[in-house]
Amino acid sequence: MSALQGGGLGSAAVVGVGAGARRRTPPLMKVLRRPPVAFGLTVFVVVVAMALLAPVITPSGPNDLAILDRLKPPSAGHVMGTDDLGRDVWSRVAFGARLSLIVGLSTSLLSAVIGTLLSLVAGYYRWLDEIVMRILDGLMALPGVLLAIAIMAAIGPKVINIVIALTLVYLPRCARVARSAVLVVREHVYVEAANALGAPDRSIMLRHILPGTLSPVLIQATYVFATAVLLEASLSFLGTGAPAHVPSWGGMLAEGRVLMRNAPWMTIFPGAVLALTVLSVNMIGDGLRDALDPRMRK
Amino acid sequence: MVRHTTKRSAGILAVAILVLASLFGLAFAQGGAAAPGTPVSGGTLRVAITGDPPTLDPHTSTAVIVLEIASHVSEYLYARDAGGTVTPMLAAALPTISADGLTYTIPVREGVVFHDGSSLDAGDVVDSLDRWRRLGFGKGVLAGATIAAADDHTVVITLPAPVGILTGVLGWTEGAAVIYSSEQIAAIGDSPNDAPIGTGPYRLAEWTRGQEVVLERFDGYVGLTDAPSGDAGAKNAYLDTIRFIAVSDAATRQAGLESGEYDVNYRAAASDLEYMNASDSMYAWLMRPGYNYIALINHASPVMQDLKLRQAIQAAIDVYPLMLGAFGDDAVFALTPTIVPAEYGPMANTTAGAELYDQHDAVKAMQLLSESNYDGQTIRWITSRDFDYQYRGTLIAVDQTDAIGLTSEIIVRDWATTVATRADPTAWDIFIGNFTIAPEPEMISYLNPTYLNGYTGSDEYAALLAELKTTADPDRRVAIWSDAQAAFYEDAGAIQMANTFLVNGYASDVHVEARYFLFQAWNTWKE
Amino acid sequence: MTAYLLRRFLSMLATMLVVGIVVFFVIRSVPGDVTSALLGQDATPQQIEDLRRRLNLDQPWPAQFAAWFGGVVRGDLGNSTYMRIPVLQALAQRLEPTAMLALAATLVAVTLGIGLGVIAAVRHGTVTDYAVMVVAMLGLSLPTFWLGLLMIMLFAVTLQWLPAAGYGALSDGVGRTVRYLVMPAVALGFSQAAVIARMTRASLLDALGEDFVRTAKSKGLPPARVVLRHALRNALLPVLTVIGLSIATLAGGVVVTETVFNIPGAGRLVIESVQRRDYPVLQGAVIAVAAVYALINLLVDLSYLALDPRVRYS
Repeated sequence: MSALQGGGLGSAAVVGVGAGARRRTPPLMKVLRRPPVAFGLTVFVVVVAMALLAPVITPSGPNDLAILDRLKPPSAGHVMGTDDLGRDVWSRVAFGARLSLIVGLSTSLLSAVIGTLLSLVAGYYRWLDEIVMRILDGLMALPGVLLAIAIMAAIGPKVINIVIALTLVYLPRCARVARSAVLVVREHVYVEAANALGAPDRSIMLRHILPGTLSPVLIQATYVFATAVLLEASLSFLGTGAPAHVPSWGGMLAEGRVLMRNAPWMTIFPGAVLALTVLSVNMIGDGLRDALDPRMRK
Repeated sequence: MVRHTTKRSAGILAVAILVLASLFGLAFAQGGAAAPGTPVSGGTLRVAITGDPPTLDPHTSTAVIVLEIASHVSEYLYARDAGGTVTPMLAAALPTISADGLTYTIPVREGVVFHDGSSLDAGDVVDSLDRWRRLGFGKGVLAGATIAAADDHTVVITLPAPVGILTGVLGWTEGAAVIYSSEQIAAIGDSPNDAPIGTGPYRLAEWTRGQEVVLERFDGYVGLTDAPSGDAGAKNAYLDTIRFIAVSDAATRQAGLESGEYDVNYRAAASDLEYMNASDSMYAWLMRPGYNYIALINHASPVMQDLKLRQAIQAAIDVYPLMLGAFGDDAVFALTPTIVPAEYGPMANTTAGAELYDQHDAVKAMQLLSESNYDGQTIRWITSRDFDYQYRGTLIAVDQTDAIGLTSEIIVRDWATTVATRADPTAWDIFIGNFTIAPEPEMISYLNPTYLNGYTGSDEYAALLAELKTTADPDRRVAIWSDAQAAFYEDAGAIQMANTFLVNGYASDVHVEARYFLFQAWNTWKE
Repeated sequence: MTAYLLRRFLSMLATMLVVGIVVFFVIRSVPGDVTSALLGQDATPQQIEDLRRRLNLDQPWPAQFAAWFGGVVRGDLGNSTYMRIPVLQALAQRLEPTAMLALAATLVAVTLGIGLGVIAAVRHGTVTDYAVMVVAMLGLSLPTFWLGLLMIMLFAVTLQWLPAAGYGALSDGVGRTVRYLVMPAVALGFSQAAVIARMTRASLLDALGEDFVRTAKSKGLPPARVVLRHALRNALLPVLTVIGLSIATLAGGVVVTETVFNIPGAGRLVIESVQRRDYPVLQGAVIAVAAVYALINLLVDLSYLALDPRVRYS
């Protein structure tokens, strides 16, 4: 298996780029204060607040029908207008944030944790390595969208199922990133141990290897968050994502599609908020990468 | 000098008159969608359809898209004119029916030619009807009948019992009784006929699966000479070629029409209706009558067998806002209590039972609910977002019934799963959607006990329906159906909502001589 | 080297097998079957039963699997239950549009990405650099389908410069194919261009700080030459990794793009086959996709050999 297929952005195992001159890692706080990162953090916090406070800050529920009020442009009563069933678009956008954030967070957490565990186990038991890599290759053999559609079709539209499907999609990538880091550190540890103590202790392995995997996996996790949100939107857009009664930005884009001429606000607002959310997470990811991984600095 | 000026003036005047006359002439010849003009022969019509048809053989599939494409290639014994009257097409005249209603003698028109050059004779009709009986709707109406050729151009059908609608079904597109040649039937047997050789004005040139169906004019077409009306009369093949292009995405179809990529958007959205009619480059056409939009009730489900509960739901539904929310524009539906719409002509124009239609009476509904045995059970509504008008209508209906105290659950799945769920009597209670309508009640699926929702009806209704089935006399049929419709409403067999129309978008340079409620590209030309 | 290739090939076959088996059973566990697509909206239960019997849909799964697998081993992927043509033919028909779309999108992604990345790196720290990075950020964050829809609204419907949908076959002229692929390729390639631009910029900046570059500069070589000849070649290696991954991401994006632009490609065929429950086509398509994917990965890995003498495979 090619060691160069480390996979994932910010992978620590990219070979070929020279070590370069040693630079001091900028402290985390310094990075966080840089304009793009600060912007990203602020926007993300606003989106989270919007999701949490949704019932309080919206005039009506996201599923409250009002046929005779349908397709109204933005106004004082409905700041983002109404959709084709009279539902308040702002309310659906605010509640839709819940789905995106839950899916993004759960997917990135699960794939990061499971991926790291898998790679640690595989790194320790070498025979397991081959099997695990085969299975992960199998999962990666299909493009994410197709795999997700197939899984959703099989297990049905529920939020938990979206998380399961997307985790299965992103798990291999996280596992690969972690695996690359594990491989690098493991060689290092074995060499040191061979020189000093003989065969390395299991706990020493863990103590040395685990921290080495944390940074690249964390960086990868933020990108997984962003892509998972986009993938969920694509799935909902294609009709195989969120269940119908759960407001979702992708679903709103699908509903607004045939009405782009009559009611552009149905497409503009959810699309803009989706893009901003993904943007903010990407910026945070960049900031983390700058702070934690000196080799991939800007 | 004066003479020259006069001559010149006269000359100028003459030219002016000539120019004005030509302009006038042009103004008259120039037409919008409705104005008559001189048909132009030639050209290719690009029709964007909703997807690759499963087959081109109506015997094996009555999906509307199959019927609409196939009707250019294959023809029927009878056809309906714009008033809904059955008229001869491949038959030479209406059938002669014996006094006891058991024997139908059908003369076959002479001189009709198939696309492969062979002539149409009674043997072809017999074999086609036989195949139709094996594979399609004929199974119901021709069960146990004998079909034989009395001579080269006469077919005799002998029925075991009178069937009131036989002629009607033979002349109903959705009935799908198309006529193929005996040779082709012998060759393909019961497999779907994907290279149909018919008698129609167009023949199949090429079918690239998943992409497009291409038809070409059949120069040897022998048709009728009567003026086109509905599905009947002359079928002038002005266009050289018709291309049916599979474009599954609705927004893409519309964008293609607007950018000139397609000439026809078959199945445009109601929300684009206004825009198209206001535009110079295109216009919309409403296909009416289209479908009946109803709430189909699963009578095998224990909770739905409660009459008062059904009547409560029937009383609660407020049809206009539901239809508006489901379809988006009130031009594409008509609130009507008549189950068989008026456009179908003489048969059934009855408003019996109308006082139970569209009551939107929440008070009465709650009263009925309290009189019923309803105990808070969850009513399961199944629907699919693959047909967004189904889904939205269901949302609104649930909202309206929630208001009177019903507890509901909406099960949303893709279409294939919804169909499978609907086939399981234990899995659903109500399904809202469009249902095919027909000139005769026996042809409307949900009115009959053989349909999947298991509706046998009250004793009164069942008796009336049984009587209707064996009655052929039109006036008698109207009277029976009138009573039957009233009984149907009393029993809340299904919840009637509205007649819905399909929207086709046309480019302005496409003109159609006569309209029908199914898509036709004959009698159509492009400037 | 031969041993390496053999191992890769075998592992590709194994993956294809596993994937095929999984899809076989997963798709059959989903309710519904092809009859709902073949018959009309209100088909009677009798019609459905008859059709199901005619199509042998009632057979137990192991029997179906044996029949299908037996065929696959002989190279026969079976027939589509919806279209009634061989699966291989259905796939072959749809291959050209998808391949052309993927190729065009990759071209857009690579040229736009590397170009922007180089500009940003060379103008490091200036407004240009900042602007390029903002654009790249947007590219990463915008949904492909949204971008596609907006483009159709603008360029096809309003300006009428480009066709709104469809695909022009190569046999009808390359110019036509290009016209139909411009918008889809840009919509699809834009996000990958963003990824490539960022990676190019980062690794080029690294390379530009290297000793050998400083040496070249001190020798008096013109800066453009320094960038292009020396730094870029070294910087390209990680970029190549990203391009390889891009092609993988592209495969997923192809599905959505083909839907929005009505391109009759393999991606859309898969979606349609899921909707129609056309099992043979779905199984065959999934195996084919897995194979193509594995091949692309192999090609990317092999290209490292050409670019970096330090890489060896055994």
